[in-house]
Amino acid sequence: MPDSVRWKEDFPVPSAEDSYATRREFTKFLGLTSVAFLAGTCAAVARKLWEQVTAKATTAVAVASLDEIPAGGSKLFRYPTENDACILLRLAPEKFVAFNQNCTHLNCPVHFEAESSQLVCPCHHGFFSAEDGKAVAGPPRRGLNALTVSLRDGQVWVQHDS
Amino acid sequence: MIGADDQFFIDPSRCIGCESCVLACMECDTHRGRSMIHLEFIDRSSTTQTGPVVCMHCEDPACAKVCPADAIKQTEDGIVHSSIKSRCIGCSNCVLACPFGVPHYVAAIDQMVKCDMCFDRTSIGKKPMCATVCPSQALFFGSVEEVTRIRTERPIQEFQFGGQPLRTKVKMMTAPGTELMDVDIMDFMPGAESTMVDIAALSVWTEGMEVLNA
Repeated sequence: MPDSVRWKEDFPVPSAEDSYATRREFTKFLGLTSVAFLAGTCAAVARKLWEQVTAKATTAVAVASLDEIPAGGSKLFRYPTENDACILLRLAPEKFVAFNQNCTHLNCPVHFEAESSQLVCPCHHGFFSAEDGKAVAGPPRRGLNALTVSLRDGQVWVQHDS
Repeated sequence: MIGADDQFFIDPSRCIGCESCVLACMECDTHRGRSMIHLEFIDRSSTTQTGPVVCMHCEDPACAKVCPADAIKQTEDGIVHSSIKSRCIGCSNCVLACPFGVPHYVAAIDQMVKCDMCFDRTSIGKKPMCATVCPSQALFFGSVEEVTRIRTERPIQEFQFGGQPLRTKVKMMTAPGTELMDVDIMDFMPGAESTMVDIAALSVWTEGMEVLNA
């Protein structure tokens, strides 16, 4: 076997050669990892967009009956998939609102505080208005994702904003 | 302090089998109570001859060449190091490949362990541990001038195993006039007629006596 085969260059016996990286190899490594990161980011963005497109196509579902939640009460549900935690609030006898339960800061679940009419994230003390889901205090800058709520046939129906 | 040109010389014919080298190796701080060398009994049924097995540090080490995990490396000073812990997978390829029988596999740590000529000691001017304790100086660390002055045997570093040439950093003391030690396993098979030079029968002792008598 000739001594110049590729694997012998890749796995040299002398330790100095073992830890030696040429400028060309280093540049190649940087270039390839950058391309890999770019591809990964593009894939993640594309997936997110695709999820939004498919989520919008989902139909309304009934998540609770009208008399199930007292005024000032709340109910947790999953929508549109089993992996998306949401919260339904009854602010007044005829006023229902629903939000995605994930805090927009670091995805901790938010909880409803009826006294202050706010949604509270216990992780870093983020506060959201229960009326419209806007961030009012703490680290989150963006409001909670709201769902459209409608009342039909004695049931509360939710659907993504279309 | 050791000199810059000091080298390692092995003379198995001087070995008395006391195992001081093995125990000294075991006592070295960095070896954590585990010896990296061993003592070989040549032919226990017919002779008391023993031989210390320290690494010969080949210039083109077979152990490193066969390692599938890239765990054996040779530094610029020609020393072939023991396995890199994080890489060695304990496959024992090196144990099978080494013609001198140097590396050994230690199951308890799932690692190959071999002599590294005490590079941690020689780099700060100390002799390898085994060479400092050997009572008969079968393991000798010093200059070529010194060893040729005090011994009648001469150092060689060229070997041939089954027709494959090999050059080592550590030198083997053998009869004067020998340039190459040629070993073929077939010579030692049952019924084989050895083509090997019988070093013990060579004139080394006669010549030695002549040196002493002169």
